[in-house]
Amino acid sequence: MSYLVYPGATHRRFEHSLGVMELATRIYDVVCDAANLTDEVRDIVPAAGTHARVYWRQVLRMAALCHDTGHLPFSHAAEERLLPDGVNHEILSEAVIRSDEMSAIWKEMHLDADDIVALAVEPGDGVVLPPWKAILNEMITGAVFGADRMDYLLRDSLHSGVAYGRFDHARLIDTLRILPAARQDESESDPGDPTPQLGVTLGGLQSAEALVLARYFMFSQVYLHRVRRIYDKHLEDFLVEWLPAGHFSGRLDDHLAMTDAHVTVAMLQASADTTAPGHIHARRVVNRDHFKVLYAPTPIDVRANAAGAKQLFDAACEKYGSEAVRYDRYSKGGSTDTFPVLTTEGVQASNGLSDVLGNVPIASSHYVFIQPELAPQARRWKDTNLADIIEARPEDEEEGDT
Amino acid sequence: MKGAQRAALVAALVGDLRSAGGWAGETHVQKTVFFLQELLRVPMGFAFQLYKYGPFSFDLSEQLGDMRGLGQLKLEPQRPPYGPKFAVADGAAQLETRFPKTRSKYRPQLDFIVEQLSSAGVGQLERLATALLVESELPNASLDARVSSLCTYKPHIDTDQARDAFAEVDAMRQQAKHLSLIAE
Repeated sequence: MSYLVYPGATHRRFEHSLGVMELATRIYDVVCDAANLTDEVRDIVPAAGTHARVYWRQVLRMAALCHDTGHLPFSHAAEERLLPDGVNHEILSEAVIRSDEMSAIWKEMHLDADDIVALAVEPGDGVVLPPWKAILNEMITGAVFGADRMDYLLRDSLHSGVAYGRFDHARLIDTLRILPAARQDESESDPGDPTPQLGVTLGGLQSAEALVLARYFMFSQVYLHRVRRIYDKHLEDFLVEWLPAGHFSGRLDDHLAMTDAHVTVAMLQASADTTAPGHIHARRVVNRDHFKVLYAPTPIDVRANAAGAKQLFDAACEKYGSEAVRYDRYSKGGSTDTFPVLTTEGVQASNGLSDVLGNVPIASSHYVFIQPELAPQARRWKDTNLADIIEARPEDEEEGDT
Repeated sequence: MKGAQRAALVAALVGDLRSAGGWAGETHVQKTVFFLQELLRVPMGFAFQLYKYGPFSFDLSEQLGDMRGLGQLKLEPQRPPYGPKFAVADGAAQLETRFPKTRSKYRPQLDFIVEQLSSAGVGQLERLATALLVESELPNASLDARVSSLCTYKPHIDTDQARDAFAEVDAMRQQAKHLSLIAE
């Protein structure tokens, strides 16, 4: 739904997938270069000129191409509530890769679908990938240096016109290396699992910082833009009323038959038909008559009481009715995002070498929205009562509540 | 347990680990929460799966990130080559106001886990947590079968280390039972 805020953001997952394939290939070629391997990791990388080296490069490219095929129309806006239990976009991606149609292609290319799945999706519960596959998987899906992240930041920045999403990806890729995991604590003789991971040489640290900053800016300015978030809510409300049984079926055939275009046409039609399921929500999107921000907590508010906005939401629901109010709470940020850095003194943890990395804020969205017709009076009510409503107080501590 | 209640316990755990001289990096927090939940049955509701250094919860990782965003936790960089440590931040004070009963109820369990694991390093935590995970997967299996499973999951852990890990986990469990710390 970002195109409703940034009109140029109309690009599709297809070109993104092509981009991920390209970047993943560049990463593969750099990190597997014998000149860039350290003695600790040399043995896990197939040697140049071998069948394995060529095979895994092709598997990586196909996995990158297919990694997002399981996303629903309007992807992340729709998926949190609208898939059956036990189904997510990665399960659907796997189903696409293993489908009869794709299996025929893999057979012709002499590729194993199991290998493609292992690299295309994040490892599932109980799945522990051997070191080589873990590294390949990280080249696509990695939380810090994955090609998926690099491409969507650069591509979304370009199409939305938001300059902050850019970073020197060419330099960054040139400095990527397969490295032993950085030490975490001072038990030097007992470091635990030696599985290597992607890191950078010291010369790439600033490019890595730029990537992390780009992610923060793109999330805070584009993906978590307040208008984008409320449009996501309206879309979700529309889909719940429009879809049979209130959610997508999760079946592969149904998934392949539904595109963004189907949903967009359905919203256009529903917005013009007062009797259509989801009419009101469709109208809010099509007519740009979305809910307005009633309250966005400041960092000081949050530190005093992180539940303050939720308390205000509950109070607003009581006063204006639950149909007139929406609550949005989302944060994006890995716990530590630490990666290994190769220095002249060995492998070190990134956070010990960079003031920037440890201080990049967590991008978050935290709003209470109100029906536009009620916005003026609701804001007056909020201004009068805010301090009392958002004050921290003992909460219901019965277990079982979520 | 509500997300914010979990945050209250996580913040208390981080503070206690640091007070006890523990390093409280992400792996330390992940494994101590795993023991709180899986050994002492504190109903925190995090889903764990085998990942780096043994059982790992992406839910918990998101929670830690969320708590950083809310100013309840912060990361303190360490002198290279080591990774950052968690510390309690100013925004955590509200959790004491909002969830006094939860913190009080599970105070004995928190104290026990901190006493047992505050000084454990990455390697030891990995062995112990993976042993506990294997036990839950193979509750009726022989020790040999469990050792074999652990060493299959973690080839860098030898059979002697695996046996020691199971023995240590069992000792912790017996002590916790003796102190009536395991929730029903």
